[in-house]
Amino acid sequence: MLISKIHELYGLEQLSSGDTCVHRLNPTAKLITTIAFILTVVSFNRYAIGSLIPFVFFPTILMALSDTPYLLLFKRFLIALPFCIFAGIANIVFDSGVATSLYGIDISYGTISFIAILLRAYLCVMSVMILISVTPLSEITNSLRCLRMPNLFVVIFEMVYRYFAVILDEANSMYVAYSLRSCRRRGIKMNDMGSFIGQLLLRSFDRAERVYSAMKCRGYAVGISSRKTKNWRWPDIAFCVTCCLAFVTLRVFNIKISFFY
Amino acid sequence: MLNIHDLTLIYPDGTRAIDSLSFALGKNENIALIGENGAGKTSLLLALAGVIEPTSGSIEINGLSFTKKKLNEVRKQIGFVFQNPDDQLFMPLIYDDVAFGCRNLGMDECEIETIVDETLAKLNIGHLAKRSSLKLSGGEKRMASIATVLAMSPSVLLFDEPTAYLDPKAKRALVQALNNLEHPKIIATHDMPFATQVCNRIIVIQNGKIMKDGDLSLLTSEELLKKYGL
Ligand SMILES: Nc1ncnc2c1ncn2[C@@H]1O[C@H](COP(=O)(O)OP(=O)(O)OP(=O)(O)O)[C@@H](O)[C@H]1O
Ligand SMILES: [Mg+2]
Repeated sequence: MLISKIHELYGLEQLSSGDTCVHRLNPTAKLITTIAFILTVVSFNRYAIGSLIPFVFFPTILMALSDTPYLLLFKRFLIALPFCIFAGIANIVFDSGVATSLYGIDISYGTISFIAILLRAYLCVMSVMILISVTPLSEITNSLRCLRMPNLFVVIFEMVYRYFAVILDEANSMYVAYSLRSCRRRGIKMNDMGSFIGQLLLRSFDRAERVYSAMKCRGYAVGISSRKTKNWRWPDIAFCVTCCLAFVTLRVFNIKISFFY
Repeated sequence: MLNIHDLTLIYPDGTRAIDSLSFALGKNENIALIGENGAGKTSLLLALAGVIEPTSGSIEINGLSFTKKKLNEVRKQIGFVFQNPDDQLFMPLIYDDVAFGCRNLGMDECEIETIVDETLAKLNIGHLAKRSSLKLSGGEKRMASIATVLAMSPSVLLFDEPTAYLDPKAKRALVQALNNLEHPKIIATHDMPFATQVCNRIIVIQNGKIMKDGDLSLLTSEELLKKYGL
């Protein structure tokens, strides 16, 4: 079911304790590169499938270097897929002008932009998932602070990330308790949905409060970040500069692996 | 070490969970806090850990009194192991969870690594370091949550029903682990045999008040225990 699948997302972080050249890179270098990658990818126009294709190499190479299992990440991307399809499907309907034809089949602008949306989502989601699976979360948030991201945003990010897990956990145990007593009917009856969601929210608030107290008991204070960060070494600089240069070159010269656009 | 004077805690809805309660915890004391459901044990521990603010009264640890300004220093001295380990383990890996407190204290990574390794070794759970807390058994989670607290080297340890969800074997391991820790402890529990194995002083509470305070012999009197709903 969906909940347990999303839950597995958190399993990605377990990979972050690995020890490959990618894992050892400075977290800030990885973060900057990922952000540069995403910015470049989203900056292309909506029909730019051909220009996006060279970018597929970046996640692929990183995955290979960091021993990240491709299928594992791809399955998690599938969770996001329905949202992308939902966002892109309207294009097919409204943008029906014929752009080109391939083997006699007319292909509309809408279809092209729909595919471009999927591709773009694939690239962005994959690059973020790779970042998560090669860098511990605490180092990512630390780097965000290094990059002068306002502390408030970083804290909110940490909290959302943590409490999302809390809500899922509660939802999961409530769902199990519910389905055990509902004679193994799949899913939740519409009638019970209201109280299920209400109860879920209340319970997660409660749980979140306890988790937050546990954090405070161990010295977590909002606004204090006295943690140390790793130093930059030559490989980090090389990685960051090479990748960013490559992205900029691809973008500026708009190098395409071209089918149509 | 820990001095509690005339402590009262009234929840916003008017429930008087702790009612002018006073006692002191000495250096070599392990107190078992016993009492029926709703007696106020958890509330007392939460107040001692600085999680909830008491309505009135004072708490002092090593001469440091609990005030809003000092709260962070106070929390460093007190280690609180929650009743439900799931509340305490929120990082992806047990290693990070144990390191969490040290990172907040601003130690550097090398130092943290030694501390984490030592703490896990002390509790015999070194092999759990790279596991996710989502995939541990109840007993393993319990040990891990104790490790998260120990890593900050507090001077007093508070436990809320540490034997919940443990099988006899895990319970024996816990008894041994607790007996190896020289920290003074306050343990809220319903498990009398466990209390006799770990503690040397018993405090019985009911309706937020101390009813009896004495040594282990308190536990041998059936009549007395019945009277306080135990
Ligand atoms: N957040 C809260 N708001 C209002 N009342 C509360 C709250 N938490 C606990 N209480 C009440 O305070 C009293 C003491 O509760 P507490 O949880 O401290 O008992 P306990 O001794 O830990 O019980 P148990 O053995 O069941 O864990 C109870 O009457 C309870 O209903
Ligand atoms: Mg309790």
